[in-house]
Amino acid sequence: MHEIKFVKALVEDLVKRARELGARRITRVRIKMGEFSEIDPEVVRFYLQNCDEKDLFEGCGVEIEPAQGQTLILDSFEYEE
Amino acid sequence: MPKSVKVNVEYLTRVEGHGNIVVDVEEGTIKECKLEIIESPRFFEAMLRGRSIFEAQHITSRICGICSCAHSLVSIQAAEDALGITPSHQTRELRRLLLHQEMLDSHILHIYILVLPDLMRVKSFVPLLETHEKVVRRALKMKKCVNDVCELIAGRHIHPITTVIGGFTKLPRRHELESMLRMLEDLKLDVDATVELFKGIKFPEFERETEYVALVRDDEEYPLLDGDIGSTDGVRKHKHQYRKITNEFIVPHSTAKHTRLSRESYMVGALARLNLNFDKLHPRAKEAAEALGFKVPNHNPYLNTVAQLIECVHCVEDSIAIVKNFLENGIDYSEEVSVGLNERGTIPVKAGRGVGAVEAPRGVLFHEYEIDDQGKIVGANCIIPTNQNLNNIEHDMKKLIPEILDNSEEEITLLLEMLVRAYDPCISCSTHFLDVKFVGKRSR
Repeated sequence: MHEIKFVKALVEDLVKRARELGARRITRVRIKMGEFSEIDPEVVRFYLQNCDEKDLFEGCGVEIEPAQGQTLILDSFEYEE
Repeated sequence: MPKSVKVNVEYLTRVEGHGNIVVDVEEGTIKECKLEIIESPRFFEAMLRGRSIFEAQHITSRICGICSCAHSLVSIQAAEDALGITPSHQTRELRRLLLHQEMLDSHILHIYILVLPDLMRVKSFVPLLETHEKVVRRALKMKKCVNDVCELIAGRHIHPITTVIGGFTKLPRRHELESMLRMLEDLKLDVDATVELFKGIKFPEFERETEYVALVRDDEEYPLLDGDIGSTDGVRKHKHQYRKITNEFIVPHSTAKHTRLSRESYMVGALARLNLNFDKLHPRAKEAAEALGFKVPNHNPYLNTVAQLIECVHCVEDSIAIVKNFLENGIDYSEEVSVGLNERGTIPVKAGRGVGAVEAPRGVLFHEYEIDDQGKIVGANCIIPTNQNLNNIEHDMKKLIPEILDNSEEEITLLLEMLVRAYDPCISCSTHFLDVKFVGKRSR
């Protein structure tokens, strides 16, 4: 129930970084997520498809790599100008 | 060809705040000031639909791990209202005793673990382990004491199991009552020591008169378990008309609804209860108020914590009186009930609607259920105290910020955090990490 805050923070940061680089579309996002992060990977996908900047994420592939503990890391992303 | 960017930024996944204070001040004028609540809705009212009214209290107690007794008791009250059941005097006294333990548990947690670190100018309760070991040990001992008493009454200290529609499935035996009395007599000394500790502590000075809402009664009892709903602006309504008290409305920046009554906002909780019912407190609680320099009417929201401490004195004294009365007059064990889901139809069921109104530690709590002729819930509504306080917190912030603008951003942040924390909101445990976003603090 608390996960939305963390997903929102991650996506806001991602959008900010992409905009600064002049991205028109983010094509791939790679996230490391701990088994005790208490975040459902589906929430991340749902958020990207329904957030204010959903156009930026159109067709975006989301890779979620399992990690240890409570980790939540925005590892990398790919974008088109 | 897509470009690749390596980021590798870690986002902490511990609970660190579901609330944000957003402040934007330009040339001494507030452009924006709001308390954002971004906690996801939990849909308990939807979960209740289709379930038996006889299991509602077990479901709704899960709304909160701290206020699970209040949710159970208000749920049972609403169910009994719908079914037309009046609890016995013995049941009502035991329910009052149970609610007192929750009030003590929650207030002790708030006073010691959440507020004291602010007043001692440390980041959290943990550094106090080194500097104030005795105080920390006392706090933990007090919490254990009320949890143990709660367990003797309700079967366990969170999510009570013995309290059901019609009464209790198990009533405390004499040796358990004696054990409760010993623990409560010991707790009384620790509550007195807490009053001594807080005598020397200064709270921020700030005043904003608002409307205060709490349960009210015509007799001499300090109303916590039941009563009408009253306000300091002279409103008084039967609990069935609670929607005319709360007048809920939606704001874009909060997933929790806001409320208002006669003014732009109102406050619930210990300060509201004392502003309405101070005369009905136990005499020793009134003495504690005098020792702490607390007088009513009181319009300083920071003193909600002091009001909670005064209520602790009342609750421990009243608990001792209830237990002593049971020890003197005995308990009627023929009142033990075995209801389950009412499979045997021992309780007649009819279609209807019922409302419960109970003072939870953070303020008046409402549950309303509509049931069909089989006892299935077809509609539910729960309004919790924190929702009712959010609008009032925002109005407090709007008055406070211009008064403290000359302070550093760090001091403003602390005073705002302390203000939110004073209300002991259900997002309280996270407000120690509450984000204060200064969109701008631009000077002339």
